[in-house]
Amino acid sequence: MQNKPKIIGGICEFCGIPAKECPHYSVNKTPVHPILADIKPILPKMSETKIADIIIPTHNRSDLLKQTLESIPIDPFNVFIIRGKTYSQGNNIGIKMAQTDNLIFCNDDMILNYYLLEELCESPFDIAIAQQYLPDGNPLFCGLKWVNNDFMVLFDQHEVEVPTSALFRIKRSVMDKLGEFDEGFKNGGEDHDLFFRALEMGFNFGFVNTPVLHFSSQSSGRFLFEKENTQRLRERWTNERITNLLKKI
Amino acid sequence: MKILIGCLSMAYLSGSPLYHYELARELKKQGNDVDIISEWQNPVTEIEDPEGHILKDNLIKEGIGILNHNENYKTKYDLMIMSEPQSKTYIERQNCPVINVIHSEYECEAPIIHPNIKAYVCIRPSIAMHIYSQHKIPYQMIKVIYNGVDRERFCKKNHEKRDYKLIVAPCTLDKLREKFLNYLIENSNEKNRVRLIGLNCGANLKSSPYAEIVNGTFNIEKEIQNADAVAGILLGRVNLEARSCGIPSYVFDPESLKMQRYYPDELTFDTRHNVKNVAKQFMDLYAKLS
Repeated sequence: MQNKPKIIGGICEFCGIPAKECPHYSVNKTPVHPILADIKPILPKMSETKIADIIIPTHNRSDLLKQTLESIPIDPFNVFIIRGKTYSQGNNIGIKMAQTDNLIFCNDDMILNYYLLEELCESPFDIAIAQQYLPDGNPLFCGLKWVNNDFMVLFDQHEVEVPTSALFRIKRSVMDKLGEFDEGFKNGGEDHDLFFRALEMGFNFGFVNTPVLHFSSQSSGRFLFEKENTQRLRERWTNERITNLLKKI
Repeated sequence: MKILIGCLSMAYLSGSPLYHYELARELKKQGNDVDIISEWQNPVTEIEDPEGHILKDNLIKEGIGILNHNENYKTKYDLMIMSEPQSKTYIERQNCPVINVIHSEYECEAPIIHPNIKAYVCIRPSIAMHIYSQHKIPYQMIKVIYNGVDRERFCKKNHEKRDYKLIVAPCTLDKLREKFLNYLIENSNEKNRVRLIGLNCGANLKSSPYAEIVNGTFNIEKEIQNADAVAGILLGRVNLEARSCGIPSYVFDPESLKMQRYYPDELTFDTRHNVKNVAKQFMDLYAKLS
């Protein structure tokens, strides 16, 4: 699990800014250039109709959730927040409530923007993925590549065989064919299982241009079932099955 | 719609001038009146580019307005697309919505801070994160629109048969790329020959009987189409142009020399890099801001 960064001399070692303004310690204060901070947020014209449903399962980081919600321009989106469930249970509840053709699955510890959300909706791919970056500007891994019967973690999206992200859009028609998230997984592995199924069924994926800021796996208990989740994933997705599905890509 | 594009210099064949050249042409093709304001005589580099004038000549032929950097223009523009900190002076001459384009993480291309700027466009995600984390640009103002390539010009063509592989590296031959260029030279041999194409701006290059160094040329598509592979740094234009021509290309980190093959799928590539789509993304962005 990612540790909270240390404060050295009043400065967050991760962000390099004073702890009072660091998003890790004071989530309401996103660092903004002092001149631009006085300018009202410039938001584009909003669509009058809803263009997507954003589904956010949340656990115990209401501070980060607040920040995520503040970064979503509400007008063109339905936003569903599901509390007290696992990631897959929460997403499945959201899918049932959703009203549009674009289902956006989002973690509760991200900063989004309108352009990014719009790109997710307009992407020509069955599954549209946002590449994740940490608040300090460093990338998080964006996918996996199958090498010597094991997965190699990748930071370059062009080599990705199976994507990884905490923010992605699936078309309603694709979701109907894929089926729900497997609730046998507990906060880990369910997205990989879903993407494997999608690839096996011949759906494609692609990354959108604008990245997302992710504060990454800060909920307590996030990795409590890691061993069980990994075992479940490997039992279902044997080497042979993965090799066969990747041949289709 | 009247659009003013502004940048530091259009007097040499390098990433930034070629970006503005392609964008201006496509915006014009899509029905806009386009002017470019810049320095046209003197390149950023100390050495004059013998073919740098071609950009200006072609733009004039295509009906794009050419304004000198110190010109106090009268036209009332609907949109300004501005690059590099020096363009702040152009912004200050008229009250007009501005999109600031950021081409790299280097300080010489830092974002402009001005109230007229309505959006920051970055040409790759890492730059978006850089201006957010280092320059404190509000995340809500940032959008990524990649470099555009003229896919009609950079298209697939069969090249001559040879008994060796030809690796082409079109770039400015400067200190930044010196390590990368020498790596290519040192690894050239009879079966893998290297052709470095560009203006020499101070790179101290080694020599090899299998490495050829030639001056840069505007018609670079012919060199790329004739290559077996193309090498560049930091996902520059040459990697995109090679991909558009169907030629394998490799992206090097100029310091670590870590190399990655660049060959995205056709749908991703065309959506992101076809200059027609790039220009359309600018117009869509403007439509939302105005």
